[in-house]
This record gives sequence, structure tokens and C-alpha cells, in this order.
Amino acid sequence: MSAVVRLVGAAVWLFMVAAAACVFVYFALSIAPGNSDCGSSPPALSDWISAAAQGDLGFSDGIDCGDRVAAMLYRRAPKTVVLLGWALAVVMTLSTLLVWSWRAYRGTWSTRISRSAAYLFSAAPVFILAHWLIEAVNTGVYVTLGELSAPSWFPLPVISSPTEFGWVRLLCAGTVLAVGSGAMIRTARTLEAETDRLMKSEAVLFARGHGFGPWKVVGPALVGPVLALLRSRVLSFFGGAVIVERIFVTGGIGQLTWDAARSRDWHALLGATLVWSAAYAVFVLVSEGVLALVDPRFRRPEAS
Amino acid sequence: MNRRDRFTAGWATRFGGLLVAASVLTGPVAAAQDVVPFTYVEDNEPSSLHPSYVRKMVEVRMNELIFEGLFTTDQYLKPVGELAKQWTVRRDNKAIDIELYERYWHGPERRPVTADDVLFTIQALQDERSQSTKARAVSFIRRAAATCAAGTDPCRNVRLEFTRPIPEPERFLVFKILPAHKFPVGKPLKMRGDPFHRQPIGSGPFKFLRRSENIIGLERATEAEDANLLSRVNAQFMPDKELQVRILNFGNIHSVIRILPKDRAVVEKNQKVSLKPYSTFSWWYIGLNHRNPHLQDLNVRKAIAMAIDRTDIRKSTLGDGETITGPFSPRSPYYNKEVKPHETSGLRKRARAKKIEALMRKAGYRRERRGPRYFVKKKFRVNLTMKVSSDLRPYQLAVLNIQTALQRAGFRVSLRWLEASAYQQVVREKKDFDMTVSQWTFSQNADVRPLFHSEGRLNYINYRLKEMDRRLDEARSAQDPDVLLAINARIHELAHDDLPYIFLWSLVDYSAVSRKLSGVRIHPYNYFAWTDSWRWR
Repeated sequence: MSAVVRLVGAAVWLFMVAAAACVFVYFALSIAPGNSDCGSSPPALSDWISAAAQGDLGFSDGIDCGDRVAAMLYRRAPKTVVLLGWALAVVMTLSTLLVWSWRAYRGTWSTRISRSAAYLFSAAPVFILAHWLIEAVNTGVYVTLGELSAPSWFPLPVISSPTEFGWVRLLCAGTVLAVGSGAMIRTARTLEAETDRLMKSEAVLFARGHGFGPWKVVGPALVGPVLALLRSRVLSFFGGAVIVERIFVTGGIGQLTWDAARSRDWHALLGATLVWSAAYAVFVLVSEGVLALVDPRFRRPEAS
Repeated sequence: MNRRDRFTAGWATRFGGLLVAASVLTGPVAAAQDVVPFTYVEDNEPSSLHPSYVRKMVEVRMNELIFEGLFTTDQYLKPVGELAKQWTVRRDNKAIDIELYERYWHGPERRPVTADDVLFTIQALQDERSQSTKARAVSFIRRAAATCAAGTDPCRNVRLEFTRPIPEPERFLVFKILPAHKFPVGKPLKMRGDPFHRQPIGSGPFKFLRRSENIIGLERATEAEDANLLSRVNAQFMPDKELQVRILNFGNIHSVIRILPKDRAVVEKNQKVSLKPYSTFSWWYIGLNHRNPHLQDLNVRKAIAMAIDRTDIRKSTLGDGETITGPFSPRSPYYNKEVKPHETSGLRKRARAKKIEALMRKAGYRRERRGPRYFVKKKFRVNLTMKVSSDLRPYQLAVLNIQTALQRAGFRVSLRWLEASAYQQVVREKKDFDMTVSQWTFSQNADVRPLFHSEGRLNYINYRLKEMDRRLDEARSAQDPDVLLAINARIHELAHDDLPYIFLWSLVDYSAVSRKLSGVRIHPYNYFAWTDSWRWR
């Protein structure tokens, strides 16, 4: 029963987040001057909501006058999922490697240099990092392989054909997002601080005293703070995704969001807002579920 | 080999192997030239590929590749038949009989282009329910009918009758023809929701292949005899102009439609591309809202015109072009070369300021005694808001120079950049502005009536002058080309004297085209009208 109640509560909360975001975007777009590129007039909010509730997100008003918004989102979603998933993986991998090296080589010059470099790259705006990476990859491949031997995705961000998925662009964009959004350096700092704190805790001392490795205690305990940090950064992650998708021309939902706002595409922007807000709500709910699994302090007490 | 050398060799081999594996795994190597598509970049993607709903230049260029009109223009900008094989214009210029070429719509069915398609296109565009952006392109056609003998199938003869005499009507019959069989009978065209917006069927040299989020692929519709002709075209959309210029260096982009003046020097150094100049029919202007009480006075407008050294600003910020004196491009036959500009570039600063002051005093203005010494009338400063579309951001230096020149001359001008769609609504529809910097782009049929006629649909500056209305009406009904030339010359002179706009300049645009191509000729408006001469070397 309690699980059912929790599920219903989660669904209601998800709906409220999505509805609030869409209403906000609707009124923000209605204040902004400009007409849609397809020449159509804005939909009534109530009409859009009732159609969306039945799964009909309407036709695009500006990006592609002949296309259904649902179809556009469906085609673009895999690219954004790959982008965000890769960015998350890069965040976790790089931050873990950084923290390991800082702890292993504490006080050395290499640690100071790597720490400064990590901060420097994280401080650079996302679009500058994107341009640097594009230039570096293109020049590197051009110099190494030459123009005729270069792979089909060369140069970034050119696409060789409409059927190309664009893996290289997506992975580059995800890497830039991971570093430029600040998620990597913040995760590294959180990991470092929490690791230092936990290593001095009584639980670790107890574990060591009984012949267990400290990471059996520290590992699960790190999940909570990292998830809390990622939860607080997820919206800026989404915002960064919009920028990198535009520069790398990945064709994901982020680029759709930007183009929809620019071309006053009401249906596409509301549809994209729905997707982003649902993704945010799902991420929060899933992270709470993971926390409850990993950290017993977050589980509800069983009825005795 | 010692241990260190073996270590180095080992890592070099691993790294080299990774690179080779990456290049093999990530796609086919481009080998022969004929499998490489011609790839060009656009700043933004088309909202629609439907030729009846063209709103952006990117859509004009795509339509040129996919569709055909009854007529097009040759390299001398003379009208020639595109779908029209033979034609006869009636003596009174009120009708034209056309026989169509034997052409087929793209697609496996190979349906012929017939008179029915022409009739359907005209009827659909004229239907108010379609709300087509090309409705005015056919508003002069009173009646269209197929004129084949009974039983002729397919019928390829059509007669068009006009509402008024039109000399050289071929110039106006350039709208793209639609395939009637792809649309429901008796219903209007749809502004959105029609799959035709996304997957068009035309009869042009290239057929639509596929579209993804950032690229449209086209393929030559018929087998080309010459293997060096362009067989595939990819239109890639990349909003970042800096990136466009950078990736030109790597050779896999074959054209950038328009190179900004600031990037010209960089592109010129690139051995792989050549800069192709092409003079468009476009010209820049400062639009003045004639409802503004300051700008209603001709002396004030003349003073503003004198304050701006157009030649100097253009040369220092935009490059090649010509300062204009009226509402036609210098390429247009209607441009009146006798009219001299209100140019003050030869005058010294003081002499120019004196002239401006004299004009403003005549209008009842004087300078403030203290501070920036702006012009005032009855203690009210001349405060003007200049609203500019963000599409002109790449040229912001020119706009800022104009603002600075006006400020120095004594006009307080505040500059506001508006997003493109906001600009359209605020300036063009609501007319909420004092001044604006913008440009008009014309096809070869330069018709300035909508701009300056008191009932003109593009007269957003609230301009009214009876003599201008009269001249524009005369131009519309003129049948003799010489008479039309004389009337337009007078319109040019009138516009120069009365200053509905401050006419600025017409630029020479540059396109970057790969040296792998030869025979490249660029149409000033459509860009791709003459791709039959483009060949791979």
C-alpha cells in the first residue's frame, strides 16, 4: 500500500513539475514579441494541455512546418540521451581519477598542476571550450591523416549524410558539457572532501580494525553526497546541453529547444519543455530511489 | 634496440594503430570525386521546403534546386524558358500562350508535368485560404486555362490572361510549379502539417533525398551525361559563422554562401577556395518613421542624410560596393545615374556641421548651449530610437558608425537590437520605431511600389506623397519599356529628393567556393539558378 501511495505521489509530483514548467514557458513566450516562422498563431494554453494529455503535441510552428512535434522529439531524443549519458560518465570517471591522483600524490607538483588545470578548464565558458575542442580535433586529424584519408565525420561538426548519427560530435559535445558546466570539478571537490571526512570517521576505523578495506564503507557513503550534488546541477546540465548541442550541431532536443525559442515555435518549445521537466522529475525520483537502496538512512522504517 | 627505444616504438605503434582503426571504423574513406556530395553551409535551416511558403533566403535557394518555374533567367539576366518550351505574348500584352517541355515529377511514378499542374499552382496560390507567401506573385493573372485539343494527354499547353497589360510577362512567371497530384482537389494549401513541407516533390535538377536535423540531402534527378556534374548536394546548417570559415580550411565544405567582410582576408589566404563576388539586387537604407514629428520635416531628414558619410563607413566596415542615391540597385536598369548623392565626404568637418546646422535652424531647431549640444526644439531634444534586427549583428560596426555619426552631428540616437522575429513584429507590423537600419533584397523584378506607395503593403515607414503615388501607379500601367525606364528614373529622383529613406549602399557579396569546382556562376538572387555549369575538376 505504501509503495502504491509513493508511486501515485511521485506521478502527481512529476505532473505538477511538467505542468508548471509548460505554463511558465507559455506565458514567457506570449510576452516575447515575434511571430512564428510558419506564420501560424499561438495555440490556446488549455487546448494545448488537453491535446498533450492525449499524446498530441501538435505540428511545429517554426522549425519544420510539416512535422509533428512528437515525431521530432522522438527522433532527437536518442542523441540527447547519448550526450547526457556520456557527459555523466565523463564527470564520474574524470572526477574519480582526479580525486585518486590528488590523494595518491598529495602535495606534489603534478597534483598542483592537475588541480589548477582542472579549475581552469572548468572556469572556461562552455562555448569557448567547444570551439577549442573542435579546432584541436580538426587540426589534429588533418595534420595526422590529411584530407583524403580523413574519416567521414571530418571535419567537426560537418555531417556527411542525413543518416549519420554523429557519434563523434555527440561524444565531443558530452565531454565539453561535463567539463565546461563545472559538474566535473564540483563532483571532484565533493568526492575529495567527503572521502577525507569519511576516512577519519569511526566507521572506517572500525572496518579497518576488523580487517575490512575502508572503501567498503566509504564507497556507498559517497553515493548520497554525489547524487545530491548532481541533483542540484542537473538543471544547469540541461542548460549546458542546449548550448553544446547548438555549437556541435548534434540535432538533439537541446538544439530543438534553442531553435524553437528563436523561431517562436510554440508547439515545439512546449513539447521540449515537457520533455526536459519530465526528465528532471524522473532523475530526481530515480536518485531518491537509488539513495534509499544504497543508504539505509533514507529508507522508511519497517512497521514493527 | 635498447629498452627505451622498444618502449617508444611500442607506444608509437599502439597510437598509430588506434588512429588507423578509428579512421577505418568511423566511415568510408572519400576516394573518387564523384561520390563526394557538394556540401554547402547555411546559417539556419528552412522551416519549409514548400515553394508556396517561402520566408527565408535559405528556402529560396533550396527551392531553386528542387523546383522549376515557367521561366528563369540566363547569365545576362534575360528571361528564358525553364518549363516553358515555346511561348507567344499577345500583342496587347494581356495574355501569353505557353507550351511546356516534356518534364517529369521526381519519384518512381514518373508523372509528366502538365498544364493541370500550372493551373493548380495558380489557383492554389490565389486561394486566400492557402495564405501563401507567394499569393502576390500570381495576383496579376486573371485567368488560366489549358488550351490543348480534346483528348490530348498529357496536355502541355496553357494560356494565362492578365488583369492588366504586362510587357515582358516572362519576368513575372518565375513562381515554382507544384505537382497537382500531390494535393487534394478543391482544398487550399496547408500552412503547416502537410508532409509536402518536409518531403517536397519537384521537377527541378535535383530531387529531395532525405532530411535529418541538420542536413538536407539532394540527388540529381536524372542521370547526367557528364560524370563531373554535381550528382549530390548536401545543405548543412551551421549557425556559427566563425566555424563556417574555420572548417573551409579542411576542404570538405565546398561553399559558404556569404562571407562576412571581416572574414574575407582570412578566406583569401586559403589556397583551396576562391572568393566569388556576386552583386545582388539588395541595398541598405535607414528607414525613418514619418509619424515621428522630428522626421516629418524634410530639412531634418536632409540634415540626417548629410551627417552620415556613407562612402567612408562602407569602405571602412563593409568593403566593396557602391553608395546609392535611390531605391534601386546600381545593377538595375532603373537606377538613375544622373542623380548625385547628398554626399559630404569631400567637405571638411566644420563645413558639414555648418550645413547641417543651417538645415536644422530652418526647421526651427537650435543646439543646446551646454553638455553634448544636441539639437532641441522648444526645449525638447531630438531623441531617436534606432531599432535594428539581430540579423545585422555581423555588420554591427557599420550600424555603430552610423549611430556615432548622428550623435556627433547633434542627434541623440539610442540603439536597440531586436531578435529577427521580434523585429518583424515590432518594426514592420506595429511600426513602433523612429529609425531602423535594414536592407531590401529584390529578385530581378525590382518593384518598389509596395515600399513607397501610400497603400503599399511594405510601406511600414508611414510615407505619403501624392506625386510618388502617381508615379508608382504610372509605372504599374506602363507598357513601353522606355516609358517605364523614364518613370522609374523620376521615381528614383523623387525618392532621393524627398528622402523617405536615407539610402545607404549596395554591397558586393562574396561567396567562398572550393577550387575543386569549375564553371561556377552565381545568380544574384537565387544563387543556384545556374548549377548546370558547375563541374568537379
